[in-house]
Amino acid sequence: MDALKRFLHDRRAIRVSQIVVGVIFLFAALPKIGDLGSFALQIHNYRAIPVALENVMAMTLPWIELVIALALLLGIYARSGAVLSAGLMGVFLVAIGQAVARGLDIDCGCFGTTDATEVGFVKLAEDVGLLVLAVVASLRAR
Amino acid sequence: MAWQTLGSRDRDENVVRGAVLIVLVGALLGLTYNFWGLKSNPAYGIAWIGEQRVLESVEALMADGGAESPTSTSGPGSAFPESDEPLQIQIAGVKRLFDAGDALILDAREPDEFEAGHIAGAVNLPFSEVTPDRIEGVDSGGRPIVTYCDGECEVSMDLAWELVLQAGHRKVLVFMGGFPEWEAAGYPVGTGSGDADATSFTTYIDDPMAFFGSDDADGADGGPALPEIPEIDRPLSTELDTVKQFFDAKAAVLLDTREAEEYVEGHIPGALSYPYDRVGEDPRQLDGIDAGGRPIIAYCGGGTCEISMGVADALIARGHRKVLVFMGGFPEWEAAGYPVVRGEGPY
Repeated sequence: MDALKRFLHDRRAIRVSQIVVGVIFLFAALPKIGDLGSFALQIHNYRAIPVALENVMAMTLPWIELVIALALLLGIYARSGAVLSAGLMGVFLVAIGQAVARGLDIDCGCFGTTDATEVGFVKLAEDVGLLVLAVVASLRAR
Repeated sequence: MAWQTLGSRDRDENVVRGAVLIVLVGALLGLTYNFWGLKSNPAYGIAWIGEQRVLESVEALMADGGAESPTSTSGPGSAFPESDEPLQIQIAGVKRLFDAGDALILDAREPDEFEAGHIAGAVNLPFSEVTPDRIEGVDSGGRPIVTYCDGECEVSMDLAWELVLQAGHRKVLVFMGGFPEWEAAGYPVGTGSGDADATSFTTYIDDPMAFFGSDDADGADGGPALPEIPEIDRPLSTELDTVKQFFDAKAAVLLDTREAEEYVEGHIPGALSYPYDRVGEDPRQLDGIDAGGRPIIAYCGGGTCEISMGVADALIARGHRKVLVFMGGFPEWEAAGYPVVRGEGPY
C-alpha cells in the first residue's frame, strides 16, 4: 500500500500520466474543432442539456479540452489541467451512463466524427480508465 | 506545521486559479473562433445559441385562411407544449382532444385486446409489432399523439418513447389511465379491427384533406385543388401530402439537396439534384432553375432538414419565390410507398 502510494506520488509517474492524458485530450479536441457542426449534433443526440446551450457547449468545450491538453503537455498549470480533465471525465461518464441507461443508440462523439464508436459499456470502461489516469495526474508530487 | 498548512493552501489556490484560467481561455478561444467561422461561411456556420429552426408551415397558413376546419392548428392540440420527452395526460385532456378530433390516438395493446374494445377512432399499433418503419410512418399531421394501454402498463410509455426518439415527434402524450378508465367513464368505445386498423392508418396519411380539412378545397375536376403558395421572401415548410399533390399535378420543381451519391441511390422522380455543399460553393447555379411561377420544393434526408433549409435560403437570396421545404424529406416519401427512381437524373 505504501509502495503504491509512493509510486503514485512519484514525480515521474505523475508527469507521465499528465502527458498521456494531455495527448488523449489533444486528439479528442482537434477533430471537434474541425467539425463543429457534427459535434453540436452529437451533443444534441445525448438529449442531456437544453437545446439553447448545445451550440455554446459545442463551441467552447473542444477549445477548453485543447487548452487543458496544452497545460498538461507543457507543464504550465499542469495540476489545474489534470483536475479539470478528471472533472470532465466525470461529466462524460454521467453523460454516457445516462445515454446507455436510456438505451440511446448514438455516436459517442468523444473523438469527433472519425470515431464512430457508439456509446456502450466499452466506452464507459475507457472513460473510467482515463478518469483514474487523470486523478493520478492531478496528485501532488512528494 | 503552520507553515506547511499555509504553503499547501497557497498551492491549492494556485490550482484553482489555473483551472479558472484554463476554462476562460478555452471558452474565449472557442467563441472567437466561431465568430470568424460564422463570417467566413454564413450558410453553414453555427449559431451562438442552439435553436431548432422551425419554418412556418404552408399547411397552417392554408388552414388559417381556409374555411373552419376540424384539423386546423387552433384546436386544443396546439395548446400542448412541444417536448422531447413524452408527457402524461389525464382523462379529461384526452376527452377534450377526442371531442375536437385533434389528436392521433394510438392503442399500444395487442390486436385481440384492441378488437375486444378500444377508444373509438384509435389506431392499433401493438408495441410488440413496432418496427422502425412503422414508427417513422406515424404521421399525426402536427397534432398530438396520445398513447394508451391497459391502465398502469409499460407498453404505452415504451411506444411513446419510440415516437419521440425514433420518429422525432414532439407532442407525445401518455394516457396512463388507459382503456379501463376510458370505458369506466362511459366514453365512446369501438370494437373489432374496424376502420381503425393499419389500413386506415395509411389512408389517413394519404388523405390530403386531413391537412386542409375543408371540403370546398376540391377543384372543379373533383380532385383536390392545389394550395396557393404565397410569393414571399422566406421559405415555408410543407408536408408529405402537399408535396404529393404537387408531384401528381407536376406543378412544382423538386430539388434534392442531399449528396449526389444519395440522389443516385434513390430520389423522387423528376427531382433535380442540387447537393447543399455544391450550392454553398456557388449559389449562382440556382439561377438556372426555371420554375415558371411554380413552387420550388427542397427536400433532404429528413431529420431537422438543416441542409434543405440552407438551400431554400439560397434560393430566396437568388430571387426565387414560393420556396418550400419538405421537412419529412426522402425517408418519409419512400416510407409512404410513393414512386422512387434510381440513377443519375437531370441536374
